[in-house]
Amino acid sequence: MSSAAALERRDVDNEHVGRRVERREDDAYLRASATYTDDIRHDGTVQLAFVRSSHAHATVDEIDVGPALAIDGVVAAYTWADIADSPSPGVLPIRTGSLERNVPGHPVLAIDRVRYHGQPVAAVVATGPYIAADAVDAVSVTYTPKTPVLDPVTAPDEDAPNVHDGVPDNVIARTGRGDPTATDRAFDCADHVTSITLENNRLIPNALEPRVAQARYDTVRDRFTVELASQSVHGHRRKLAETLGVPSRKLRVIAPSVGGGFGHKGHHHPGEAMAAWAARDLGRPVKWTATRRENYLEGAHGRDHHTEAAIALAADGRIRGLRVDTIANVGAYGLGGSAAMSGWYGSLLSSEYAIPAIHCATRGVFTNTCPIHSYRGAGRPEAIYVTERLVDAAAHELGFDPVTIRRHNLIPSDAFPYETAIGTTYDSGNYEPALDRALDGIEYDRLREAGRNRADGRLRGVGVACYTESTGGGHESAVVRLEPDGHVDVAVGTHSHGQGHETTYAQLVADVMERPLANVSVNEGDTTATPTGTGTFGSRSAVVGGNAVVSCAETVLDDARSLAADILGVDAVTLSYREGHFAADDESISLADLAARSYAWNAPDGVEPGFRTATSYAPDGTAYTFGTHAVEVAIEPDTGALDIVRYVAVDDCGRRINPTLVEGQVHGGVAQGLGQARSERTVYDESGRLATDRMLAYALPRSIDVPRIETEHTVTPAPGNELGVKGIGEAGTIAAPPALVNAVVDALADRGVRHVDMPVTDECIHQTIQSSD
Amino acid sequence: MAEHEVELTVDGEAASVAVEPRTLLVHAIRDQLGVTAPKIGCETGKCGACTVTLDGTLVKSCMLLAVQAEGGTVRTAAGMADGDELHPIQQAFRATHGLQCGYCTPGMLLAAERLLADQPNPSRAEIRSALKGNICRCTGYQHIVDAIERAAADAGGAP
Amino acid sequence: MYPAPFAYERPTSLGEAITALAADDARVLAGGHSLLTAVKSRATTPGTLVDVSELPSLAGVDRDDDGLWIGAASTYAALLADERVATVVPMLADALASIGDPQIRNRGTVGGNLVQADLGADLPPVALVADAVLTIHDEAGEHQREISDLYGEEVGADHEPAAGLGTSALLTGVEFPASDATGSAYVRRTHPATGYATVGVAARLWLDGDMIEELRLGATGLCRRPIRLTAVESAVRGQSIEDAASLATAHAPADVTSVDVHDDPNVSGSFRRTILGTVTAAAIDRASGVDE
Ligand SMILES: Cc1cc2nc3c(=O)[nH]c(=O)nc-3n(C[C@H](O)[C@H](O)[C@H](O)COP(=O)(O)OP(=O)(O)OC[C@H]3O[C@@H](n4cnc5c(N)ncnc54)[C@H](O)[C@@H]3O)c2cc1C
Ligand code: FES
Ligand code: FES
Repeated sequence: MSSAAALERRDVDNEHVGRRVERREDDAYLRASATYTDDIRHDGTVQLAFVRSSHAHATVDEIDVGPALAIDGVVAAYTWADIADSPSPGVLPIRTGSLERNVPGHPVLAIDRVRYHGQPVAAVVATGPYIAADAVDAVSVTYTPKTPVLDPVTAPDEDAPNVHDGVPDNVIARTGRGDPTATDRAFDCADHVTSITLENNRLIPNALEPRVAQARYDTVRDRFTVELASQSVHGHRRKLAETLGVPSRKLRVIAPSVGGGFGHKGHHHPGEAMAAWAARDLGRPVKWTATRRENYLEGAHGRDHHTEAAIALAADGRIRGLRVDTIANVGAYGLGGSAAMSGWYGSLLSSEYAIPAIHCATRGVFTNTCPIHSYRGAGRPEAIYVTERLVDAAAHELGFDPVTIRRHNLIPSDAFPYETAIGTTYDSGNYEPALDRALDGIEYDRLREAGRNRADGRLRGVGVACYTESTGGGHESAVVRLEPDGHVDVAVGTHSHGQGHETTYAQLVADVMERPLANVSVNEGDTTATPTGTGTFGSRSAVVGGNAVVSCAETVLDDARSLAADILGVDAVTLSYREGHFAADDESISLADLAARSYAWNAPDGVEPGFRTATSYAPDGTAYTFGTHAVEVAIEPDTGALDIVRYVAVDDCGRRINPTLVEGQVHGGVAQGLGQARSERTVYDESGRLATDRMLAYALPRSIDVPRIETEHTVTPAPGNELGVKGIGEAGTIAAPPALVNAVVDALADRGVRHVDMPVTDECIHQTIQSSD
Repeated sequence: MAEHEVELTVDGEAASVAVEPRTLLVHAIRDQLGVTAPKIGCETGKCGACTVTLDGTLVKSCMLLAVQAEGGTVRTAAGMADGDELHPIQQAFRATHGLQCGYCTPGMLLAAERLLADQPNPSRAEIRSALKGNICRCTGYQHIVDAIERAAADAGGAP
Repeated sequence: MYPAPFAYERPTSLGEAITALAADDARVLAGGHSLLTAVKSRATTPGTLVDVSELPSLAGVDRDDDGLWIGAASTYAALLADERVATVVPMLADALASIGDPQIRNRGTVGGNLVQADLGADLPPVALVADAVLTIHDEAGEHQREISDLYGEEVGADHEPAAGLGTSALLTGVEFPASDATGSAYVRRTHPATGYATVGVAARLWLDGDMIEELRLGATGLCRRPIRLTAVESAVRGQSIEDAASLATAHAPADVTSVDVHDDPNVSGSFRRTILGTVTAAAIDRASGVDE
């Protein structure tokens, strides 16, 4: 890939890019005619359902599927013994590269032992979901309970039981990032040290569409077709292939409309693997649809970090060093994401500040709880939360305004690219204007002047959080070609489950090709119809996918130009191009005409039909989104009732392809961030059973809970990709939690409150007030 | 258990389905009648993705048995558009980006339609309150509230 | 969630309903918004559901000098659309309006709500404060019961009805006797996960000028039974309305000292105790401004 300096900025015309173009995919959603996986009907489909562990930790002594098989309409019942007898490994693969031990993967059905409440123990297949549920009830399982490991903080202790036999301290991975010696030195020389102990609460992602898969097996061709709710069809194909023990080429994976992802549809679960396995075993289409409760039990869950951190400062408020020690709960099985999270986590600890020395130690720890994986933000919200809370706490201790101390330590705009002490290179940034805008927006000075006591007896708090976000990792593949009538066909390896790629990619291509939006179609979500790509997560699609399609489209246009030059008998450089027509002097030829000729049997040598171009694009380094969110709260001291009075979000995601969609991402992210900060709590009871296993027990933000979010932006184009774009999908989940908690702590600062853990419920606030009085 | 023959009119189409007493209305509509507009998000009456109207009243179709709807007229979001022409509320959702993944949308649209029928000129707080029974995980609700406000304005109930 | 099999009956007369309910494992199905939840999770597996939601004897509203009679199968939405409800029993209208969401209000029934009395259900404290009288039919015929007799100390599992009615009895109507109170109101704090009341308080108030002659208070959300707040009631009797708020917050804890207040993963019992006073004060305040 070319270096940042050599990148030529692509200034595609602003006919569509940068505009508030309405989403083309909406028509089908609005008519409710879009097809989600559960909406698909295949003749002869049977339904798969799981018998799930009622214990957090137990040996499985006996499974009797006999009574289930006796039910009319039950087609099959499986236990691990059946998987073991088959050619399939039946264990969800985990990436062990970054782990220090080879830890066992997640078996699709328990092998003699269950390690979390809800783990699949057996599977039944029946002619319909009702009978399948009857069959699940009829299976009897005998367990011998074992003591569960529930608290990640004490899990590494010597006397804690082991989740996996080969892992005596329950530690799956131990990572150290940054420079411990330099950090020690910074702390030794510091005038002031502020430390904090905090928890980043465990969350359950809750995409509104539960996980679901439909699998078919073609006995003649020995091929699987799996339709499922996935964020990454190519990723799912690779993993399914491993679990089934077949080469990837034997699998076609399709993600139709997907009802939200937020990370947990980016990775592999037992459901789709079992459905595919059973489809081969039975030679019939098999469907598996998780109930909401199963989504709660089997997640995956997100976050669950337990951190001791300290920040070292000089007397003038300059940050000298940051030291972080985190226990990251990975649940019962180390799925790939947990390890990745510790990577993404460390990378962002510098937030927007010039911190000369940072050290971060992370231990990934097994517990007898649902596996933890990436949830919107995946390590980044956890990191920014630590730093932004510490900075606020330090400001309070040193008597600085939290904004003053932030401003004082911002990485200056002329310092980019900036390598942080943890070793990540921020590509670009201009932090102060975004900070200023957020402060203006929330009327920071006025609120500060007005003080903490409101006329109505409530306490006022203002919270500010700055953040950075790494976006656009990995490569992405795209194919662009013209159809014989000149229509542009785009295929990409990413997947849209609400982000609106069909529109944004089309905007980009339409501008490059100077064609109407309607003349561009975008395909995603089918391994047969799209090039092998990476998928959609980590705010990467606009950056990586967007640049990939633009680069392809440009090549298509170049190739069309060459053919036009040949036909018109002129030098290609003398041709002008406008809105689908190449012209030289008074001769011109249309793109449609060229496309048709490219498909002709007598097309010139070297001309690809439709000028088909495939690219694999990887940006030059990560694009760092940044911004500042500010929030004003009012608290009723007698009851702790909290009101979010105003919320201002200022984000810089570089060039904005479609501002409306960017705002939508910010709103959704902030709502989820506020959900984490205010209400979402995942509770296992003392026996390790999930207590928050229903939507009526897990407090998701409702329409009445989310405040109006005032959005603003600054634009600092990313230098590492030609479009200058950065991702925006996760900004809200990163910035909102520290902003809200900072506001609450600010409101209570006069009472000596220094920290509150999330979720900051009314009860939590009330308790904090009580214990501080 | 004996099956019951249930007559239902869904989005203008009369049909008869044989259901067990335990069959939930949402499953009869989706799996037996093939009308997949109502979605299933929680099965516990919380998320509102399965919202339909039954004889004009807004209900969550996972909270009723199909047999309870015998003889009833069901309207789903799939019945809102007039041929090619989207319903004005659907148009407003599109214009304001009132949907992302679209999974909550069928329920949201019907809740919005009901609200505007009862209260043509609602405040933002009233809109939020009317959507209490419909969870959206993608939009943070703001563009949905914008959409309904806009639909109200377009219909002449200018704010 | 898929229910286990059961039979379904929709009787067309009261007699048929009573006969159907005589079967051991038969259960009344009204709005289904509590029962079907339990049936879907298979926490309960009735043999027959007897659907009374459209029985004429359980329908309608009637107002006369004695008060307001409400058919047990009346939905919350139907009652909210009926002006007589807000006029005669303002606290009932408050409570109905705060239930769940529009979809739930369209299906849930007064009878089901009172019989089930889920934790944090909004109607039981109102009925308690109003001294509602229940008309019940069973094989022995029709009889009346005071609402205060309905809820015993002992209740079964969370999904079981709190009312000790027995499964073969049918509640057909609820009489809210006419009252000469000055005002009444219901105020609640909403639970962040369930959407029910975390704590809700119904207040009926008799004022003489600024002086509180009499106050009746009922609370929900603390335990499965609605409870009267007698300590607050007697503390404010004879006091000025101005002092009601501080008296309510001071005395409310005494009303729940012996109550085993419910804990859940989102809200602790101790927090429910804490906010009881504030919610009570708010209910009294609202009642003083609402004419009955
Ligand atoms: C998501 C959600 C949120 C909710 N939020 C609230 C809330 O905020 N406030 C609130 O108060 N409630 C709330 N509810 C509960 C709702 O109001 C129920 O409708 C109510 O609890 C039960 O009434 P029903 O008519 O649905 O009764 P059903 O569910 O049909 O029956 C409940 C029980 O009562 C018995 N029963 C019903 N009718 C009679 C009768 N006439 N005679 C004898 N027995 C009878 C049944 O056999 C059953 O045991 C909520 C429910 C859901 C699903
Ligand atoms: S699926 Fe019916 S309310 Fe969620
Ligand atoms: S748009 Fe995805 S849940 Fe609302």
